[in-house]
Amino acid sequence: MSSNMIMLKSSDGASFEIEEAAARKSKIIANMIEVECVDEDKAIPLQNVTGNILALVIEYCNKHIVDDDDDVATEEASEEEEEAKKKKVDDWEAEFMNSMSLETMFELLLAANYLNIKSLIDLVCQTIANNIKDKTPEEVRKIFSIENDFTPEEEEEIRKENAWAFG
Amino acid sequence: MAELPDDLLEEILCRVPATSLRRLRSTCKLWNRLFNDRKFTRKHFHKAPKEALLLLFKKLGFYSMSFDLHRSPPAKIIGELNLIVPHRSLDQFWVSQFCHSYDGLLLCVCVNKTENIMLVVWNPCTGQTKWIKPIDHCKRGYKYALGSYKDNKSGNKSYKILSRRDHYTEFEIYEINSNSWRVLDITMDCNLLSFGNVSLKGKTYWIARDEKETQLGIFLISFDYTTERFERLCLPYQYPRYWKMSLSLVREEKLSLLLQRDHTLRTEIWVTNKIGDETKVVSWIKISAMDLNPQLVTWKGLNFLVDGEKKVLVCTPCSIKGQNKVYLAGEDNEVKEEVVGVMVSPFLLNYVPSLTQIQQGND
Repeated sequence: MSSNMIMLKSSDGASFEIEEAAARKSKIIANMIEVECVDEDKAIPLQNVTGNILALVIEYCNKHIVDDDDDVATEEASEEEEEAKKKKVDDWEAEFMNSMSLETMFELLLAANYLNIKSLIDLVCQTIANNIKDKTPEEVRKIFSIENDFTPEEEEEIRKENAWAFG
Repeated sequence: MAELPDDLLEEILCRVPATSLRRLRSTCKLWNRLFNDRKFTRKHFHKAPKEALLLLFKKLGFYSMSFDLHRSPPAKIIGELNLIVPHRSLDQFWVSQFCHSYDGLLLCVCVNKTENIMLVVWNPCTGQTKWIKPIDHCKRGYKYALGSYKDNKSGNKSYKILSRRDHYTEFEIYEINSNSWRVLDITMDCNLLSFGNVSLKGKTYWIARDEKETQLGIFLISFDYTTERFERLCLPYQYPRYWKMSLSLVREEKLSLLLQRDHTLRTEIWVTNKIGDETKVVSWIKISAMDLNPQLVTWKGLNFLVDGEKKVLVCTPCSIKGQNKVYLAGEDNEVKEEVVGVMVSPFLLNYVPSLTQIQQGND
């Protein structure tokens, strides 16, 4: 595994050093490396990602690059080992997301989308989904800055259709 | 808060459980539209966490029930939903048989006083229904099953209904895509025992007996809706005749089986391995052996279900001294008895709600 280091620069000018293997988690950066538009002395500018969010993205990529290495080393791991390892990753991810506000999650999601890191998009989306599942439509509108575009009659109609409980 | 583009919003919403999304439909028009969008609902089916609900059926709908052995009372009715019958002539209908397909759809057989029969495929979560005329809508005594297959033309999942008149060997099949019934080109070499059926991953399962070769005893039989063929599978062990048997589903992953070998009320509960689209071999593990209440000795069958944590719930079609009761047991095999304060029909389901759409065929 290559241990080349590359530099990333956030929109607010902060620079981060990251292992190439970790940075490759981002399809966009991996592409840049493939077509050799990465100058070793120059940082890759990421216009859409602020420093505090980029730090989180790098934390995630670093953690997962270690896991991917493990995968190669223990290709014939038993089912229990696999399960234990998966649980360790799940626990880490839960802890990682737990420390974040919804606002940070939204920004992280936009960054993961811009950098094209699929597993991070999945993780953040599932965490936001868990977060809103017990909320009311009013609360959810506030979170997503959504305007209620129903007439009161239309809204009443849908609520009536929903008038039941699975519990 | 940052604003998200629609594709990311969709990525989030397809991970919200079906019943929550149903409630959040009134957030705005876009969300309401997604709830009925076929592409979205398919994605939702694969990505959203699966919920498992306990449904207890009644005349024209069901109660949902919570079930926790550490609480008092352990079984509690927490919700209720009725099937909406759109035709006025169906006013006096009630549901005589419920079938369930793996993916959140129910098939209800509705009967009225004059013995008229209508079938309806119902997604209780979205409220969508499709009413279907049975092949012979004036005769009772038909048994039905609902299952899915992948339609080769469209590549989408579609549904079929299998029907058979009691004591007849011929089967008819209905395709929702073409809205038509046809006779199935198959001759049955065994007898399906009338304990009801369960559907899982595009197949329906029954308990069956070979009348000619009785030494084969009783076995499991499955019907594949893609190939339209039956296949025999093994039960946990060979035994010539059981006193009572019943099939049920554990979430939408495994089959479970209730067995009483004789009328001592010693009841065994068995569960299979996870059954996937490619699973060929079924293996069984015994998860419980308990003694049920002697009052449960009835000539009718028992209905039961097992939840993900090996808790067992048994219900009987008969009321005992005017009361509907359910029986619950945990891993210690100790049986608790619980009165349900409502009239229920003897059908229990471990139900996983989904936004699955029912195609309306050519009508």
